[in-house]
Amino acid sequence: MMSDVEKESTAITPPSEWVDKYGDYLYRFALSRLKNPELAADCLQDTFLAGIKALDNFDGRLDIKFWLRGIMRNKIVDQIRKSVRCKIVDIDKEDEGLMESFWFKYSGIATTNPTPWEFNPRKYYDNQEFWIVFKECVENLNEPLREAFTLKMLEDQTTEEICKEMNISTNYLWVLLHRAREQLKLSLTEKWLNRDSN
Amino acid sequence: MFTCKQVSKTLNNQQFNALPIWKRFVIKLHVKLCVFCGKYNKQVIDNHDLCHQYIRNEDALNEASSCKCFLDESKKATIREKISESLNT
Repeated sequence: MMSDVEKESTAITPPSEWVDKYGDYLYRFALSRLKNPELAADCLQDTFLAGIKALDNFDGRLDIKFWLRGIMRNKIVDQIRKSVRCKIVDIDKEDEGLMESFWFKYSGIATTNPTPWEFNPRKYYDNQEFWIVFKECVENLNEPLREAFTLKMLEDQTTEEICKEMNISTNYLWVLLHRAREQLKLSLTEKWLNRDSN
Repeated sequence: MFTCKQVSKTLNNQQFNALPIWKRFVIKLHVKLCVFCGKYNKQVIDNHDLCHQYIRNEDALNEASSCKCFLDESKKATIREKISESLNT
């Protein structure tokens, strides 16, 4: 009996079936992080090839789909790092002003009175449509806001790592995250509140 | 008790939901009472919560059969080829 259970838990989908079973799911995941379809497809291919190489280390505790997604997360972070490394992140006057502002220096905030949300997102946490809109809004953030936001908020990379890769100061990362949050708030409000008219 | 700067710095470096419960409590209390950073950092915490919930819902979102986004059949064929090459070597 025990051996049956063990067999069942270690039964894994053979790599030849990965594309059909998990291809679209993992591709959508990569696309939501990378935005670029070509890069997402390359990332998927690298994930599968790395999965085959590391298959001996698969212990069967997780569903293989989630195990592959774990590999993919690392590939995505590597890909974003690669793309930000080639870019020079410009600091404009407005950003400099923000970093030099009284409130930032003394309280680490941009303003004491931010624009309030026009709706309460918490009300829609159970609504799949809301998350589709959220996903679109994250994908449409301007670069390098999207990269900074994805690495920090969605992939939970440390501030030090992101600053090193993007070659920016921690203060500037704070500015990028602040701008990303503001842009997200605006676009989410606009898209979500006008969803019926589209 | 934390200062505004410490609260802002913590929220900038770590995910609010991943903080120890006592830290979350102290930060929430500070944010609720502070006339300086309260409104701003409340929005930062809300944003962290939004991202946290998104990650929890992301799976269902990528799984959804209604999702219009599919990988190109030609690209799928290329990946299948690469996989079989890799299996044969």
